[in-house]
Amino acid sequence: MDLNAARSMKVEIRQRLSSMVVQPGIASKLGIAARRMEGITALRSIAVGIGAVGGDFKIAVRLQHPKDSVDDLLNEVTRLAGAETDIRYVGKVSKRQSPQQERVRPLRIGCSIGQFQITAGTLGCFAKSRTGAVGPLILSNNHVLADENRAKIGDPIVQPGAFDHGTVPADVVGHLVNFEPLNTSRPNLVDCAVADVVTGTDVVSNMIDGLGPLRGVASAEAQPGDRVSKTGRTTGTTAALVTAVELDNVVVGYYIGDIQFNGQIEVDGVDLTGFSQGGDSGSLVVNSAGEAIGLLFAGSDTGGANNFGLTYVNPIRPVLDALNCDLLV
Amino acid sequence: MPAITIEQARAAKETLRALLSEHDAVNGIGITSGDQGYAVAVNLRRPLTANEHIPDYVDGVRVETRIVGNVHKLPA
Repeated sequence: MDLNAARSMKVEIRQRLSSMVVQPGIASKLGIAARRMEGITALRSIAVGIGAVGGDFKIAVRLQHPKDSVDDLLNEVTRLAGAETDIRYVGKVSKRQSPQQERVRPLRIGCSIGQFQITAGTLGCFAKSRTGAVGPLILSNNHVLADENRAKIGDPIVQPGAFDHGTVPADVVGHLVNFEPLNTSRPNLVDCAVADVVTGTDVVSNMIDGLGPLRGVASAEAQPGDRVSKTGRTTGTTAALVTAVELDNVVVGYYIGDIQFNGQIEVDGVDLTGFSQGGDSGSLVVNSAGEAIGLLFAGSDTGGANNFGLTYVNPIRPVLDALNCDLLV
Repeated sequence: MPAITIEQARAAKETLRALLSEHDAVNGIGITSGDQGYAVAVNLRRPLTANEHIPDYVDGVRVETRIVGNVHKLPA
């Protein structure tokens, strides 16, 4: 079969399979809920493409289920394409999980974490109390470790977060010890909280995967144009440029209501994937010298050079002052 | 023309903040960098209507508007 014929055959097969799959009898064999069967998107277990063997083109069919579970569909493909069909069972195809979403021991900056009832956020970094309490603290957002004020002091913190299959008690790495309440009736400066680390759980406090050593708090405030980076639960290590500072009147949507923030840092990713996505909340943002400038907590729908949206960052000093702690490096 | 200093930008930002405090399209007023030093950044939830106006300059400081949509927290 030549390439053009293969392309035409592929289109015909996809249309034919789509028309078949909305029939209840066949839909049930795919094991997909009938309400989700909508045209071609319903064909989640069969991929149809074009393969080449020695200059000859064939219809390539790749199956996620064993062949006998979709016999009706395969018979139709074979009827249409005849011997020009290359059918293979490839098993389930799944998104590759980032290493930050896995169970990590010792605990590391940038990994998935969360209060046991939330989805998941990012372990920003480690801190030490200014009151002399012994032991490292886990620093992240209020909405990651304290569930937007709804958690109780002492609530378990799991790594990875519940969305990444962390459970109580198997994955408990600490307990909530302090948070700055989010206030819906007046401007806020920070969205932050700390948890202790359970005895026997080691931490790597001075290294950011993908970026290198963490070298403390930046001596100067972030400026527009500064290059910054972070390692987070969802997008891993990414870089951005600071696009605005001292940003006031930023209204951020939370479960508990819209919350206004003043004095924020805004950054715009320089990578084609954007700087942040859901799950990166709590990431520590550092400058090009590896010094902390802030704690990532929010993002916008649109905007930025690539229109991936802008990312919002609490300045690090108000975060540390609110929680009465210092970075542990 | 001398570059705009951060102090000039801060003053212009406060002026604009008072002017726009009740404007429902505005979702952030800050300081950014422009062609002539610092500038004021105004973030918008939506495009302005024909009847809405934000000045291009305040006290000689450039005002840059950009549409960012809504802002939300970032858990998984």
